[in-house]
Amino acid sequence: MASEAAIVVFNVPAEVSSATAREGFSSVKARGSDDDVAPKAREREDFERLMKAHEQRVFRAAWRLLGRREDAQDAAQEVFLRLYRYRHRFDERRPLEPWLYRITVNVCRDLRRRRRVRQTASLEELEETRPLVSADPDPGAAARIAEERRIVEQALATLAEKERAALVLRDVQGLSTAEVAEILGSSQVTVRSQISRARLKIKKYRDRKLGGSPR
Amino acid sequence: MSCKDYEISCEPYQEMIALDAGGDLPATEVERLKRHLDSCAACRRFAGEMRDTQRSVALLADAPVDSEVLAAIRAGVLREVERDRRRPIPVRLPPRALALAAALIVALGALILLRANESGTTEQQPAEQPRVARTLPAAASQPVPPQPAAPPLIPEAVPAAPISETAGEEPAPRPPVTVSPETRLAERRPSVVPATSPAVTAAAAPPPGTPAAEPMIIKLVSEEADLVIYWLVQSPDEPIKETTNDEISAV
Repeated sequence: MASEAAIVVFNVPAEVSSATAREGFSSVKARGSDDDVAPKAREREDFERLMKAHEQRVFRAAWRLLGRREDAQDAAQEVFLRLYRYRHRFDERRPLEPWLYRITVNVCRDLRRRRRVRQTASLEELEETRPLVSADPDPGAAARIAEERRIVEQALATLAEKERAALVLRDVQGLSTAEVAEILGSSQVTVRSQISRARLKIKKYRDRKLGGSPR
Repeated sequence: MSCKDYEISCEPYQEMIALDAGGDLPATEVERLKRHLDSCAACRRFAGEMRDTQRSVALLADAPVDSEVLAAIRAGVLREVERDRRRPIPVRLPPRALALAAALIVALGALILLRANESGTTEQQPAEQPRVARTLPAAASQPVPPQPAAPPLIPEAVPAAPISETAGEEPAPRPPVTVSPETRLAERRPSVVPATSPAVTAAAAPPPGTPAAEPMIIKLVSEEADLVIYWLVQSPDEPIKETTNDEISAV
């Protein structure tokens, strides 16, 4: 029986490149049972492919916004669930990535507020963070990099929520100032100001840790 | 420009340096900063450290992510999606559709009630007799014989008083309606009364001047605060009585 109901499915090609992943969803009509693949199964496959295309970025952003990998895992799951549940609200003419980041920022904010008691990872916890094992042939260099990362993670925890979001999206995720402003719902001037303050704070923290010249 | 007292004079440049390190300084200010850096060694050093900091921040972007963690996220999401699909979709009907559905239910309910009463009273006599007695006061004073197990539709003991006997008298007003809807529906059931009996005909059809029976009012309250459905039920052989808003409000 042919169904007339219009449903939105995630239409991402099998070979997902970053550029194609930005294209996001497309709206199609549910086809009848004469299709080779049932619409629901195809929708599931498309959605899974879309997750694979974006999961690294979403997880990293959530990790840096929350400071804890366990929380980032919960957040990333919630982000993709919201993406699925509210897919009908997505404007197909626009790129998916900013929308995805906006969901990520909102989910992380909600999660942080729900777990206000725990707050974000404290500095003490970050001090104890075990550096990730690297396959780098130069163990000395790998250790230095791990140490640098640890210090920046600690510095991030000292930032205000908005400064942190602006810096993570701009410097870690590599979005443009205009994109960050759109995601955060702020002006570019405000975002630049937040980024500037955040960088200065991180520098100050890093200098103090490495014995530099904090000014 | 000298930076001997950079705490005061170089502070605005620090913000510019922080922006410039990430390529966020507007082009109009880049030249100004460059001129300042040419003349200020402290700010040049500061700019160098800022670039190092930026490189450290960029390391976070390359931090390895465990593929098992990502797989767990995916599996969790797909599990929830599947659960979502199995959950029934709540349907929100517009108020008009709700009203129509409620009206249909009431109509169906009333029909079933009427049918049930019809079939019920053909087998056993309901509270029909008192009304006959009330309507015919002359007959009421006469002794009433014991009721048979299955009384006939028209009680034989009730004398078939001629219509002229009651016609001249003041018609007895109907008692106030305080009965349940079921009783009232049974009371007004016209089909159980054969039209051939003059006594019952007199009872079934109220004499001229009898005030019209009040219609049964069923009030349906929906979830919508502004939507209340009133269902008026009135026998077709009774004169139509105007029901005022006050009467409806009193329900």
